[in-house]
Amino acid sequence: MSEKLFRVALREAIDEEMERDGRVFLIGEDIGHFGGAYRVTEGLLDKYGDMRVVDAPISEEAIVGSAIGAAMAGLHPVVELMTVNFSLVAYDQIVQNAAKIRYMFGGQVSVPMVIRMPGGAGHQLSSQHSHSFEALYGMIPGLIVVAPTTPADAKGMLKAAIRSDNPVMFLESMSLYNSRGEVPDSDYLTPLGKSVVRRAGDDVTLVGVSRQAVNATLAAQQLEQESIDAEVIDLRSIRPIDWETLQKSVKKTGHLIVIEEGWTTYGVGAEIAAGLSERCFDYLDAPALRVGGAEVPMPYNQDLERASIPSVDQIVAAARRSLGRKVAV
Amino acid sequence: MPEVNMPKLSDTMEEGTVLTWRVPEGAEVHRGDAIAEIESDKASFDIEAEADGILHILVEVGRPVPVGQVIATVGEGAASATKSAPAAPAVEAAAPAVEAAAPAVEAAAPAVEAAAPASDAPEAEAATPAEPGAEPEVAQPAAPAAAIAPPDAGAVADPTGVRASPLARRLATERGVDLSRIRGTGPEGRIVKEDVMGAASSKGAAGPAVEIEQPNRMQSTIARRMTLAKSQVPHFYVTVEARVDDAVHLRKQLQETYPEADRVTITDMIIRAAGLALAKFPEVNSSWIDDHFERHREVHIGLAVASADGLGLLVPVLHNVDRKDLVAIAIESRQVIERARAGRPQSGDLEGGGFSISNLGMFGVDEFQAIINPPESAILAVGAVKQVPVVDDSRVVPGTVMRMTLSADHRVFYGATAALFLGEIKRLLEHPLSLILDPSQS
Repeated sequence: MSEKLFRVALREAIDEEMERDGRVFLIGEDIGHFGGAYRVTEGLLDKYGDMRVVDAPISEEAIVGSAIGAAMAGLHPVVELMTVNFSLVAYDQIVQNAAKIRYMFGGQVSVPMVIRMPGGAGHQLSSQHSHSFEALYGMIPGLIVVAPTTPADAKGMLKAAIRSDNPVMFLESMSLYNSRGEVPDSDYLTPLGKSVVRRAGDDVTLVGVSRQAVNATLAAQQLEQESIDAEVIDLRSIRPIDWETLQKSVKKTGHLIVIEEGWTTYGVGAEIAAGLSERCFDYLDAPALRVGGAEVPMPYNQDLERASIPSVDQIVAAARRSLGRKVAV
Repeated sequence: MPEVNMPKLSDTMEEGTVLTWRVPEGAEVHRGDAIAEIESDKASFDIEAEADGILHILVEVGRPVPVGQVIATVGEGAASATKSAPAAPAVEAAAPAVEAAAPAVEAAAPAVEAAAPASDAPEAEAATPAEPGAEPEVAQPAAPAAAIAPPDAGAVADPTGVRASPLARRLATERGVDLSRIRGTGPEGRIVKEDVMGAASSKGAAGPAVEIEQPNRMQSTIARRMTLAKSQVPHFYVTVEARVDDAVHLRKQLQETYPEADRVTITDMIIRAAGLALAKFPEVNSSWIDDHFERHREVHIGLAVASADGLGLLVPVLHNVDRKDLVAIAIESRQVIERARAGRPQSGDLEGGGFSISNLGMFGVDEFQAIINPPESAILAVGAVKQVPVVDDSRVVPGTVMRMTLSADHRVFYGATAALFLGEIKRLLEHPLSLILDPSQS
């Protein structure tokens, strides 16, 4: 084990997979000479050359479309879209082609590709550059959608995504790029499709989506001061959903709170709350609660922006509400 | 390909369950290897492979299967064929030529981990007084009275007029708690888990008058067989009191003088006496089967013992009792009882009894009547050895006595025979030297 930055762990994953498999190549804006908007692909152009690290023109639709074609032809493209916000330009390619081609061609071709997309709010990037689109991609059959929150998972899940035979939407939280964490030195893969319990507890289940899993852990620490023993699940996989892990926890605690940064309405929290009420209704001691982004375009003003995304205090308040504690210390 | 069948481990076993496979599917086994642990209605046993080969498991763990059903086969290496040929690795041999040519530059870019463009902005985490993100916290009725007030039917969709969480409802059903009688402390007066648990524990044992508990397999078997015995076997009972002063004395002498006899018990002496009596009374050592007698050529006696967990009853069997001396009986009875109580009887330990003995003397019971264990024809219920005043030669003297009650199957033999048979046991116990003589001489 050694401590690494989240974005360095991502770079190692890409580097190792490129070295392992000649079919893996990178395509995206400013990923080569500039090293990537968040320095994830730094140094890879020098190492692998411009045939495998392709600086693309500013056209997300062209980038994703050509990557889909390359994947169908047998390569394993790893696309970096500068932010998840710009992926809307390529949404047609992703939804209409990447997600459906394998199905429409009866399995004769597959689309083994990864689309890496930084996202999330909190950096005063305002209404058009602060999105969290977990739900927007999570609802599409044919896609695998994941969001790591630790450097170890970032590396293990990206390697697993690159080796997947299906299109993987790899959602990275901008706020986590400079976070640090222990990363195994061995060559390992973290399975896609599995959530993980970050903290075991008996009283309430906090399911965090992407960066909100980190906030959920902070909230759990605060709840501990109030003698509330929260279990924190890092969702990790938005599609497919790891119902087994979620059910096991809710059956134990009877209380569910889902936290996501994206808009609450029609969100990941809504899906998980509905799915768990179907699966373990008789174990719920309170309605499932959603903590999510405010239903507004993201404000530029820093205070308003903070007020528009889930905070640790909001998660704590939701846990108290679920448990019927009126206390506020 | 040799088949492994569900064995019949006792007379009463009709089905068995594989508790564990000691050997995984496809593994090689050798004759004599333990391959599975089987649970019968009485106990669990290991079964062994009867041939060398590859084990193919055919039944899953935990599912009862009838005696005789094939549960596995032991074959010749066929398993390895199916297990080999691993799927082609997903990793393909990438054509290395191009990549290999690329110079391994590794030139570390100068701008190392320095702050990336937008990524070092502070995290948005500050406490926000307002909570616009989630549903705004609903102001709850502060006065508890409002929350406890019986909800009016119009406002509550629930047919019972009670507002309770799904979990609370389930727990209330399970614990027999009446939701309409408890106050909800959850949001809006909802009854939550804590309220139900509180009500359940404060009522203590209240709730339903009875609690349903499922019997284990042994208890089910006992219930079934005792009902059968008492409803189909016409019992009659004969009781005698035996003077056992001499038997007690002999036992003490044996213990003091004969090292191997240090564990001989009164029960062992009764077993010996019953064995000799059974050999002498073939009409007792018999069974009524359908419409005829079956006379047993051998004398096998079962001993009723409580299972170690107190949740059952076992009847381990001592075989050929009439041909064994008292010390052998003492040693063997101890072994067979220990194995049975540990839940690990050997095959045969629970089979073949023609007669049983049940001794409750150690609990201070004077006398009792036992239920016959079919197809046996009789059972002897033994009471405590007691010091009592007895009339001996017209004088009252201290004496040691023990009461025995024979339960007999009236289809197999009748009152006079029962009296004579029990009298023989009494005679042997009252003249205990006959218990340590060679059978032919007693």
